[in-house]
Amino acid sequence: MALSFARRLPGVGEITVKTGDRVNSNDTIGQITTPGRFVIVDIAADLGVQIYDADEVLQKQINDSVEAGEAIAQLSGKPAIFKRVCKAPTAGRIAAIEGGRALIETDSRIEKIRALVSGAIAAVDHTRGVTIETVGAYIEASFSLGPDGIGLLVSASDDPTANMNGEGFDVLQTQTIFMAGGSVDEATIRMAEEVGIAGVIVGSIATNLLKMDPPPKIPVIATEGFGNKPMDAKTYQLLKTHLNSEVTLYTWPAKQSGRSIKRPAIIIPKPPGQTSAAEANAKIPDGYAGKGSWVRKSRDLTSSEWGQIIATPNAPRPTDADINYYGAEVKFPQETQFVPWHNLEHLG
Amino acid sequence: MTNINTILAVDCGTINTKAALIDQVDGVYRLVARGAALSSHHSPWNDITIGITDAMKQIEAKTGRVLLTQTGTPLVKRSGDDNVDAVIAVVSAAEALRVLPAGLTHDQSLNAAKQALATTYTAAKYEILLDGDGLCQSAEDRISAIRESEADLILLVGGIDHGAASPITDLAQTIALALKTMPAKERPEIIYAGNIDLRTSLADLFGGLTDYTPVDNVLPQFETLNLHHVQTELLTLYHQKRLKKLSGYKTLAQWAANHIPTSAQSFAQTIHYLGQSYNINILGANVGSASTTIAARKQEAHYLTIRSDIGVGNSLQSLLAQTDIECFQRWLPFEMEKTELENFLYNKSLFPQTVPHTYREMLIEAAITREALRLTAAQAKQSWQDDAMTYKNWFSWDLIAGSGYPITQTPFAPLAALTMIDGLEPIGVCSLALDTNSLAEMLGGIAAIAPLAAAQLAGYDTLLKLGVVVAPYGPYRSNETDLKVKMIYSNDNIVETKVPFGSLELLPLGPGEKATVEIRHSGGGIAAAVEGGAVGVIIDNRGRPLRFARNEADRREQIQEWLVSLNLKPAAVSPIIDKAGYDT
Repeated sequence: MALSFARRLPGVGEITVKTGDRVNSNDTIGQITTPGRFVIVDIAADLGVQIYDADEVLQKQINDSVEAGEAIAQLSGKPAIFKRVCKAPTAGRIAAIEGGRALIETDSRIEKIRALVSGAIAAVDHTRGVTIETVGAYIEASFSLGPDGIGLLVSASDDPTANMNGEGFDVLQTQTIFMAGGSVDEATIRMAEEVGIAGVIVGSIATNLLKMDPPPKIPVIATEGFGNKPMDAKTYQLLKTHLNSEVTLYTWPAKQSGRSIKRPAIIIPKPPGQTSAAEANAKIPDGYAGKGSWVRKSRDLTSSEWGQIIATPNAPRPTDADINYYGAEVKFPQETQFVPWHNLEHLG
Repeated sequence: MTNINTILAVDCGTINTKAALIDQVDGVYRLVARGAALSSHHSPWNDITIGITDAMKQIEAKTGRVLLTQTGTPLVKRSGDDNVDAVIAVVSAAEALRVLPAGLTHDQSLNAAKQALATTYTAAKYEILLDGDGLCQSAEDRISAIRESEADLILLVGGIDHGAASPITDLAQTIALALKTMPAKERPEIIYAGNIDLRTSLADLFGGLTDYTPVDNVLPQFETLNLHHVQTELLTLYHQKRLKKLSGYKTLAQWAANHIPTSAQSFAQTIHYLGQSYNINILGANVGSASTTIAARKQEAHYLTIRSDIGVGNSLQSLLAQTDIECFQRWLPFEMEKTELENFLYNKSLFPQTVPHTYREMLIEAAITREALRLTAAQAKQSWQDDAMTYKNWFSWDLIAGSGYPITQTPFAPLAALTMIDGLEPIGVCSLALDTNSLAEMLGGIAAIAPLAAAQLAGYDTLLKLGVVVAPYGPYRSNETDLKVKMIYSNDNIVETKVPFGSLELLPLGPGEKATVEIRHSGGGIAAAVEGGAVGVIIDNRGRPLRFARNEADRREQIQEWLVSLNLKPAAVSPIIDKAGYDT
């Protein structure tokens, strides 16, 4: 289907592509200067004064570079023994001057920002980001850890419920993203980091991974959430049909940003020239589910089965907890059940 | 506004949008019908009014009245019977304001700032303190914190009026240095609520950098709090930066004649009004997905604490970060491994809109609600310290009112009562009530346009009386006593019982029924006139603070006993619910 992504720089920077450009996932679309640390220099104290005339004493201005030991300010004394110099303790850039103090920004670095998704640049905001359009598959996951990542999709096992245990990891598998239907533990994630695996997709993860210190250096995506729930069959099959395809892992860690939940995503863009008109025009369906829609229970700890809505009663019905809700009758593989709308996820 | 007969009131929460149709019935404003739908301010709808119209459609279906035009807007002030005279809306769906409090000392100025921040929806990732321990000890750390905080606002406090100026000036200059390193659009605004002598010099310092607003000093003299001006300014900023940015807000504002208070403010107004009207000391607790609010009126003083980082859904991860998993587990009457419970809670946090499907899930969610109440109450206890409220009498109330689906959405009134008692631990004789119609958050907004409607709804339709909890207060002693209880009904029937220490007992007393309760124990006794309700009279001899058995199996048995005492079968230990066994 047609997909559109806002790829934003993590700060104010510079965009290096233009509308209409085609980009591959690893191409740079922009860059930002990431500040390292700040060092405050107390000019007034170094000069031994309480106030000074900035025009008279400052040897450097805002945005000037400075070397370690270089004079930032100088107070000419008469006689010369009363001359005072304020020197920079470290190399860097004068970021600000205020109230007798200078702020030196040091250890900053230029960070190049990748496109992450192959596609066409549809729009550009010259200091903040771009919109990339592509055609492909989009899978919304439940939770993730670590940074974003790109790689070729590889399956860790043919068993859709197997946990990932490092089998198949080797240094020839860098630039690959491993998938497994079960779970993954911290030791395996660390192994993947060491080998240089580009990322990991599993069904669910244990809550103790939230405490990994340091946090994972590679993306870890759980399609179902926490616990021992295996990846649902449709997701597993969809991923299996795209083995050896380039996959992008967007890892907003399903963070509760106050009122909103951002979900991580797995994107499998189709290579250019292999997209049919129907695929290019297909869009993500809107949020309403109805009779015939495929749905599943959002927080079932054990099952990720999909079912089809067979009825949408007009009146609320009681759940097993005797609380009335509006919901749907859903035919699951094992049974038909009334499920409140609140507890259903809709397969788009 | 004149001639208001029919009111449509809506409450747009983070997860649910509730609508209530209010009309005059025999000359009295009454709740006619309610509707509720999922809130729609976020993806994929991105329009807050869609949830409102969905809820209104339910009211239309229930009442047969036409409330919406063909295009889905409320039929307001048109001719004909089927319309509404006014729409009122209260909202809590917006994100919290990100604030960075900066002050001189923790127990003086910064504490005052945090009390002010707790009266509206705010979140503070860092705080900057000139004097004390913590992350921001050096000026460089403070600059980094300002840059990383992504704050909308820095609340700068410190110094009594006409007191020492240089510490706050020094701090302000550090802040100015930080702001100068940031792009103009990303710089937080400044509210200054410190030493009045510095207002002008700080205006010169910040004037060219960012929006700067001086307000009255939160601590003009030592031990003298003055929060009103800063609270008002915070609320104004919240409206500007958050509420008005909600998708669909413009349309909602047109419907509601541009008056949209926050749900918390409206709830606090309701509680304060009830306290004033009935001349009682009242505590109201509202638990939601993203925030928990506790409001109170005691001896004519008003109090409010909002925790935007404590909730049972959207803020559950934040609550989990502040509470050990054992704190949730201790409330469960059934065995559940910590890992399984953690998985459940974290998955709930990923899907905050989900509702309990089974009785077990309901008990787990009641555990979350208890911890949300306890944590918020702990902050309220700390900050509501003045002449009317001491730490000791914080626990004594005439009435506790519970609001919000996590408390009210249970088919078992005793469970709601127990959740409130466990969360707030009242002592003495305290009535309990439940906002079963979800009106408490709306009444404050209704009062602004139709005070009589608000007053009459408060009297008739807002609170369901649950009954009374009687909890003798005293320090725990190893030879703690049983209570001898005698209840004398108005028809002179007498019930006498003994309630062992560590247990609860429920005495029947229905809605409107009155009785006298006499309690004797080794340290003395109390007698009180009580009125019944949907639950009755709960004698709580578990002591304060609540204590739990050390051994896991004993603890579960303890919780089961408490539930059974209130006629709540521990059905969670069995997957089959025996509906006939419940007595509500």
